[in-house]
Amino acid sequence: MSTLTGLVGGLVGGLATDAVSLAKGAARLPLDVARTADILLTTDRAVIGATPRDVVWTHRKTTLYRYRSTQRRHAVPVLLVFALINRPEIFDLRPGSSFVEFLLAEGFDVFLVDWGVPGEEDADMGVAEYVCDELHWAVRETVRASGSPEVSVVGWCIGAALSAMYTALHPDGAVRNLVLLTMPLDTSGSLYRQWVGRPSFDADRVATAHEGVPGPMVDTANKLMKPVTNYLTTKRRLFGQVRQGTANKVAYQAMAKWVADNPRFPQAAFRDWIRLMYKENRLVDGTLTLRGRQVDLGAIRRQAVLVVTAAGDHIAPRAGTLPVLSMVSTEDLTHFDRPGGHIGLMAGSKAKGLIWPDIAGWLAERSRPARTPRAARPARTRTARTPDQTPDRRTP
Amino acid sequence: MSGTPAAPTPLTQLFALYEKAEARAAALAEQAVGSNVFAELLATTATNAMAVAGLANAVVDRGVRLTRVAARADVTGLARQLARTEDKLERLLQEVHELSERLAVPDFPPDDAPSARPARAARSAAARNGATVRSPR
Repeated sequence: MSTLTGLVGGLVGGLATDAVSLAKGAARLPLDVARTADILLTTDRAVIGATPRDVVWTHRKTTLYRYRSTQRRHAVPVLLVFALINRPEIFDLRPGSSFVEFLLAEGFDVFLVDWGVPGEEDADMGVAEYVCDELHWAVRETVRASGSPEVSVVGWCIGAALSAMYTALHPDGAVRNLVLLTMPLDTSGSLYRQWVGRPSFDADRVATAHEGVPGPMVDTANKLMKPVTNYLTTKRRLFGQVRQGTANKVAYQAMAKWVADNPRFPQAAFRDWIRLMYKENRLVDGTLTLRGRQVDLGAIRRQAVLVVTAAGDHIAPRAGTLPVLSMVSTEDLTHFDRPGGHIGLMAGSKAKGLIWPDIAGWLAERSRPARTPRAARPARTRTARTPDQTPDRRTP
Repeated sequence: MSGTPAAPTPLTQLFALYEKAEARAAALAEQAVGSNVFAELLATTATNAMAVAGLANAVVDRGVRLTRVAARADVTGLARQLARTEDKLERLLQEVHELSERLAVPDFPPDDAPSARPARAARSAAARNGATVRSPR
C-alpha cells in the first residue's frame, strides 16, 4: 500500500516537475508503437537460410543440401541434422549469425539434411523411417558427394536423438564424430512428459485426425510451456528496445519467422516419438527397438562424442540429457555446458562467441583424414531440381 | 561528478512495477501449466479437438465427393502412391549402387573418361566376340 502511495505521489510530483520530458515521451509513444508494429507485421519478409547451397539428393520430402564453399580444409564433412518439428534454417538463420556460415569460414564441408514439410501422404513416416532410411541414405549421399569415407554428424534437439539412434545402429558405419546438441534422452522429469506421457493423452487419436499433427498445434504446445514469456514478454521487450533505440529488427524478425514456421509432425513419427520417448522412455532404458534392432547407445564406442547442454533448457532439460555421458562407450567423450536455452544456446546473440568456436575446434581436431579417401562422385543430375521444383515452404 | 545516480522518473518506476508484475505472472503461469490439472485438461482437450477435427474433415470430404470432385483424401491417396513409387526407386537405386561398387565401375562416369566403359556394354561387346564375361562377386 505504501509502495502504491509513494508511486502515485512520485508520479504526481514527477508530472509537475518533469512535464516537458513526460510530454516528449508521450509524443514519441505513437511512433514507437508504429515501429514495433512494423517489426511484428513484416516478420514474414525476413530472409532466413540464405547461404548458397546445392541439392545433393532428395527422397520424398527429405532433401540433402551441400553448402557452397571455396575454402574446404578439413577432410571430414559435417552433416547437420535438425528436429522434425521446426525447419532446419535455424542452422543458417541470417547472414552474420549463421552456424553454417561459421563452419564454412572454418573450412568445413557442410551438408544439411532437411526433412522438408511432410504432408498427409507422409503419415507412414515413423521414427524408424527417419533413422533407418532417410538419415542412413543422407549419410550415404554425404559420403558419396564429399569423397570422404567418414562424416561428422551434428544433431540438435530431436535431430540429436535421431543421430544418436542412427550411430548406435551403425557403430561401424561412416559416422566418425557425433555432436549432440540439447538432446532429449531421459524424459522422466520433463514438462512434456507431464503433458503427453499420461494415459489420457491418446497419441494415436491426436495424430490420426489430420494424419499427422499440424504445425501450429505443436507451436502452441511449445509456447504454452512458458506462456507469459512467449506470448507477452518477448513483444514487450521488443517494444522496450524500440523505445530505447536498441531494437535489432533483422535479428528479431529472423528468429520470429523461424519460430512460427512449424511443419506437420508426421502421424507415425508423432505416435512413435510420444510412445517411445515420453510414455515408455525407452531410449534411456536401452529398450528401444527400430525394425527389430535394439538401439543401444552403449554401442557408440568408435566415435568421438560431444554432448552440449544448455543450463536454461526447458524443452530438453539438462538433467535429461546427462545420462548419455554414462551410456556411450566411447573413450573420446566431451561435454560442454553453457548458459542459454534450448534454441538460444546455438542461435542466440552470444552463440557465436560462446559455443560455435568450441564446437568447430572440437570438430577440427577430429577431422583429419584417417582412412583412404574415396573419389568424390560427380554431381547427380537426377536429383538436381529447378528452383520451382525444390521443396520449399515458401513455394509450396 | 558526485556520482549520485539520477532519481528514477515516475514512468521508469511504473515500468519497473509492471515488469515485476509480469515476472510474477510468468512464474505463476509456469507453475500452472506444470500442474496435473492443466496437464489433464490439455490432454483431454487436445484429444477431443482432434477428434472433432477428424469428424469435420470426413464430413467435408464426403460433401466434396458428392459433387464428383476429388476430395482431400483422394489427393492424399494419390500422393501416397507417388511416395511409395519413390521409395521403390530409392531402393532400386541402392541396389544399382551396390552392384556398381561390386563391379568397381563408377555408376556416374564423367563424360570425358573413355576408360570407364559401362559393364553392360563391355559384356555385349565380349558376347559379340564369342567370349564369356562374368561379373566379379
